[in-house]
Amino acid sequence: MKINFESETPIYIQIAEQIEDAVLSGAFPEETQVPSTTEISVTYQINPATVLKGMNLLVDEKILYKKRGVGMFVTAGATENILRKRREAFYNQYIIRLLEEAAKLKIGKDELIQMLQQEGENNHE
Amino acid sequence: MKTKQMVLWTWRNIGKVNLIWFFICFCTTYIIICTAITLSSTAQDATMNGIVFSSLINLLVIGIIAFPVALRFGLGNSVSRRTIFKGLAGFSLWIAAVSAAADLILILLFSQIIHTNGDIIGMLYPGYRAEHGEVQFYLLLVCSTLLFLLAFNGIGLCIGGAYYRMNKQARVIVSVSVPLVVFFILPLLITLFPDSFGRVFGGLLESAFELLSNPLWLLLALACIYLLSFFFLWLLIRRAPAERVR
Amino acid sequence: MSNPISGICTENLTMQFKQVQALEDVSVCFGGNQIYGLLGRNGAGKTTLLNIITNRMIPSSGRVLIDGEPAFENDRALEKVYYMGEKTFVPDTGRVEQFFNWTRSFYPNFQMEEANRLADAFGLNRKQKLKNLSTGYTTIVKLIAALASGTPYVLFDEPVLGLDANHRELFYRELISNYSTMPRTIVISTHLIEEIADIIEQVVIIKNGRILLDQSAEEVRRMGYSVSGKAAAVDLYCEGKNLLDTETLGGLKTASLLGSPDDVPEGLEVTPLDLQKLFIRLTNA
Repeated sequence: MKINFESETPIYIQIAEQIEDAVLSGAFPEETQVPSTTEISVTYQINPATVLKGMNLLVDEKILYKKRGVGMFVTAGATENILRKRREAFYNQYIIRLLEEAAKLKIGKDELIQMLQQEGENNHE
Repeated sequence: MKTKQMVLWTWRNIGKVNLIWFFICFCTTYIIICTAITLSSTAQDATMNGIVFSSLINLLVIGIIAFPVALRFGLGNSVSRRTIFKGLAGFSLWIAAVSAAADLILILLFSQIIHTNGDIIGMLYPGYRAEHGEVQFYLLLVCSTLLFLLAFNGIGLCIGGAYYRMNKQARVIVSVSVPLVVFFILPLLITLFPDSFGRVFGGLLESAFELLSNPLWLLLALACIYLLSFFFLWLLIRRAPAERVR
Repeated sequence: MSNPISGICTENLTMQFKQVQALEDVSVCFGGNQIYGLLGRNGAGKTTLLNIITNRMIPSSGRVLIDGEPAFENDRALEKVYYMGEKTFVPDTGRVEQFFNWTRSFYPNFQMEEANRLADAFGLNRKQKLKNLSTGYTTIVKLIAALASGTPYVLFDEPVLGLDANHRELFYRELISNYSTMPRTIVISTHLIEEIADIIEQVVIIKNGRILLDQSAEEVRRMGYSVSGKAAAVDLYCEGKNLLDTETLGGLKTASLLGSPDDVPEGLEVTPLDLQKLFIRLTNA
């Protein structure tokens, strides 16, 4: 997990995203407990309230749930949930930025598609 | 209770200094007095005239040290100046009582070995013992020692407090001018104008001596000095900052 | 700060030294069990403010309230506040454990087991004599006393001054862990803004004895931004906007502005203004 303090994204959102990444990668399997706010805030030296905000965001999105007196757990089906959410965001975050950056560097659409195909081939080799 | 803690801490932290200082003062006084009275026939009484006198200097110095130390420690531990003041008052009573007890025990011990005149009181009121008897004499000794010590401690605290509250220039001026006046200018003036001085001070001294010829007035005077000094101490401490004035 | 009854609140504090006006009409509140960053340049008045709050200095005018009670000469209110400052008096007689014992006698909720645990964590020998401690370890002793004080308010003035990198990180970890277990109001006054930028929830900036800013860390993070690009384009963009500062490197100009980036033209790059950069720009003038 890595927090980018220079980024425009508020830290509590970054925390939420990092937890989601960990769920996706299987590091936090469904129906298991995630580290407490204290553990996370101590490890990254961030205010616990900020961490809590990020986790509460995931609770609202039904990715985590609270078990009284025990802690936060990953909900069943969270992976699906996250993938769906991310796909929707993928377009805005990556595709549009890709096009903006390409425009800055004066790369045309055809060239872009060529690049994609080339990289796709390289990956399969 | 916080006041008690202040007293305890001040005692613990200055207590050790106390013993060393007392020893130094005693030895110094003893040496000075012995040297001065070597020629006199009252050499035997020199020992006894040293103990209480050394204690007085001791308590004076302790008062001077205690003010800034107790103030800074108290304020640093979220204690109000009122409580620090009460702590200093308690400390003063405690250390005066302990010193008085120590002095009197020493005097009693020594008096078994050497003929003693009872230290300062014996010096000021030589006839008292014969006139009023042993019991009254020792009662006077105890009370006067205690009050003397309290008064000197109070004065010491005021000196420490005054120095603490003064800024650098004032401190320099006082440190230079007071000894200068006392040891230079005053004697100079006295030798130059002996008559005027004789009239003014002679008169004052005479009335003072007359007043103090009764030891009870001395006790009263000492008690007044003690109470006045603590009154001034309160004035000095009530708005004292945690750092010495620059 | 919503609840006026709890918290440390100053009302129109003014402090005048002989030549210098150290504080002028300072009204600020610390409370709600949040972590505050008290920032300001050298000589801005941070330490004076903290000294007045803790009754170490008497203000020229104004007053301090702790949980609704006047703090002045009030033992009961003052024992709720532990102040760890540069000049915190650590006597040079006695050992570390005695220092903890004395602290406990003045702060009723002092947590001795926590103090002992922290001493071990920092590698501090409790039997060591106070006068033999290095500067760094003297600071550590004071830190531990502050963390274990058990008071509802803890004020730190340059807590990590003189500490090596390892101890600094350990302090921040212990601070957060301590705060998580026992929520209290913490005020950290420091020059190391980058180190605490993400630990604090509220930011208070003092400039020349006056409160310049008193807002949440999140609001402050959104407060400013930088644009950089061709000098002419940057100047054009900055017209009519709240400009803080500019920097020129050849033909490349960078401007720091207050507000949110809107309608930034092509060719200009926008970067966020972190707390330290924002602080520097705001207090440079």
